[in-house]
Amino acid sequence: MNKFRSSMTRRATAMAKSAVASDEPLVIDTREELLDALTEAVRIEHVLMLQYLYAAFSIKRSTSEGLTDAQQEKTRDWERRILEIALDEMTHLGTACNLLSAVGGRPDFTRPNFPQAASPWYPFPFELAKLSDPCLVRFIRAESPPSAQAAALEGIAPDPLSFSYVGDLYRAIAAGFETIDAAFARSGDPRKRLFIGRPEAQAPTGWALNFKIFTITDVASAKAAIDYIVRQGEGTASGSEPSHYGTFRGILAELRQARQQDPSFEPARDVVSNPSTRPERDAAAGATIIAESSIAHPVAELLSHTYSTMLMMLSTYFDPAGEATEARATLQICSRGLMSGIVRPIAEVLSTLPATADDRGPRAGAPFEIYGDLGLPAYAPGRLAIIAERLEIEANECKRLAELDPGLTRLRFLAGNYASASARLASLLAGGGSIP
Amino acid sequence: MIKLTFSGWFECRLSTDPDPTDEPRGVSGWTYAVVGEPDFDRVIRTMPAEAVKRRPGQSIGVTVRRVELDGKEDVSHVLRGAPFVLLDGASFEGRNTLANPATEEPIFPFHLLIEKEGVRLRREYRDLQTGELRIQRAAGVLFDPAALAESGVGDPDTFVARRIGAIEALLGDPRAGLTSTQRIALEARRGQLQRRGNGPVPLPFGMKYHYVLEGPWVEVRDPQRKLKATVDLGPWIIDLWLGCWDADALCGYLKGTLIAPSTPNELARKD
Repeated sequence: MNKFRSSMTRRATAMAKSAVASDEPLVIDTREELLDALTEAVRIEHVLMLQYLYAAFSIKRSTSEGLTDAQQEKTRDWERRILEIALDEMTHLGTACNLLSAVGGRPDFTRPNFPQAASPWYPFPFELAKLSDPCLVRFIRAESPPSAQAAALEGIAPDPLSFSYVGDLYRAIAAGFETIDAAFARSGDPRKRLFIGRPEAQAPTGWALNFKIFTITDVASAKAAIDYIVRQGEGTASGSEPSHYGTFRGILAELRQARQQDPSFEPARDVVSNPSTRPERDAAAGATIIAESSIAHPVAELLSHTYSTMLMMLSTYFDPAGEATEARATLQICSRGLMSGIVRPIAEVLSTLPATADDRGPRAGAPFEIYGDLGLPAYAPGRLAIIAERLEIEANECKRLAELDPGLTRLRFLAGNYASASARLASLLAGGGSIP
Repeated sequence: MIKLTFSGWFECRLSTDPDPTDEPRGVSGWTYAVVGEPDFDRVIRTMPAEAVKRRPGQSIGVTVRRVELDGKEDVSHVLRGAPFVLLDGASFEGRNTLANPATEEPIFPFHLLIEKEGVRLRREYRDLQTGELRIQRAAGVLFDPAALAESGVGDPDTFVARRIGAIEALLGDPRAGLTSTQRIALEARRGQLQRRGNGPVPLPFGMKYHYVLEGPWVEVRDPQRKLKATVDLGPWIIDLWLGCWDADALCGYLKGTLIAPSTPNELARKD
């Protein structure tokens, strides 16, 4: 195997490996295979998280949207539980980045735009869709333990793949850590080590409350982290611990029961599936283009632009290239603040704005598009400058949109959040931002 | 010098991390607007008349408890019992830590009013040079074990059980006259308390604030000379402690002092 393949070639190889039939278990026994699998894990955590967020943001909030008092409390609880799972996926993403970084990889936040049909390289379809029965079934499918497949979701499983389930991928990765580390140890060559990553690139645990990122230093810590991720997703055989799989099944059961009590009950706004501001070359058929005449169009562009800026912050954070401690702390605060304080509220606003020229038509939603290359220069001041420049542009656009449409009251408030984030980056740049 | 010592519960209906700061109902944080309640607005309300006042909850009202003139307590002073009010929609300015760390969130704007029986002390925190509203971070978090007893919170370990008990007592009281919406709201609160366990209970930790109010943005009214002193327009020193956060009742406990330079008048001398 060529040890110097380009990332593109690696990705293609990973895709091809995914197509191996499921009766051939995924075996990882080289560093490159481990890097491929971890890169895939990062991508899967990322797209799962976005799908969960989209469904959560589609949920109706008040009696003015046709909910009864009891339904309002019920839908809030579903939204909370789905957002908690999305938060878990963010921590899994952070831990997967640490796993990748520990063995010499570089976290890559690129991913194809939505939608993506189920295929040999995506074991289940990736779609942005409102909360509904089929949507929850898709989520259960993604998080299910292999043994539960036939009983719980007969008939909807895709063709067998080498990792039909997220848990399978992680189990193969855990085995890979052990296999490769043991092989290096057996070689007797002290220059051969699995854990060649820079310790300072590891994200620490203390990002926020309930945000448990594992730092990876050896096989034991890698296996503990993976075990935690798998248990959070699939649960345990005894079912004694809460899991994503169990939570989604619980919400589905409650939704079906609520529908039995009130057949007209609709928990989500009428948001379109897979909204997009333009045709994307890497998306499968099925995207819904938001009408340019709708205010949702520029708001969706602002959201996607900001989301990409946040990904740039994360990729800089997880792959430092001379950024000073203060710069990394600022990137951590800003990426987290952008997610909670800007991207999420704009996504919520989008689920109330019309997707079409007809104001009474279906609502838009957050497209989470990636418009271009997220790659940044390896030169620390250069990449910080690009991030700061983007934030300033976004701050101005948010202000402009809030002034353009007085109905966008939340954007008026968010303009202040953008200004705060932009000021932080500007201040960092003024101080140099990198290790001299 | 006049020194006013005030304390009491305030209401602040705000979302908490990781919800967005402007989240109107509360979803993923510790706080929620339940059915029948208005959206969150983040305003710090120290007067019961302006508050939503969840029941069971805390008794809202920050008032002056002690007045000292030149170091001597005046138990009959007109400002005893006067409400301490923050004007202009004062709120915590955190913005999901983008603007300020969670433990240092400024109160913005800072514009205080203490008023009773025609006596009024009012002052704004503005920049002396530009006249613009000033924003100042909290001076950190302070552990104050006395706050639990002062506020009436008592033992934090039994807080959740006591609150659930109070909610259930209300739900079970046929004389309470609860509407269907109120019942659902109380059941939602009980569910949240049961789910969160002993997480967000009032604890004796609070954010400390220290303000020096200066400049011409001040009003002292005392037409009947009840203040027993002439309050000077020099710097007023305000120290505040806001803590014992009761996430279920959406309330916090506030205590502090205001010290203003003053000269005693004849009434004070007579006393």
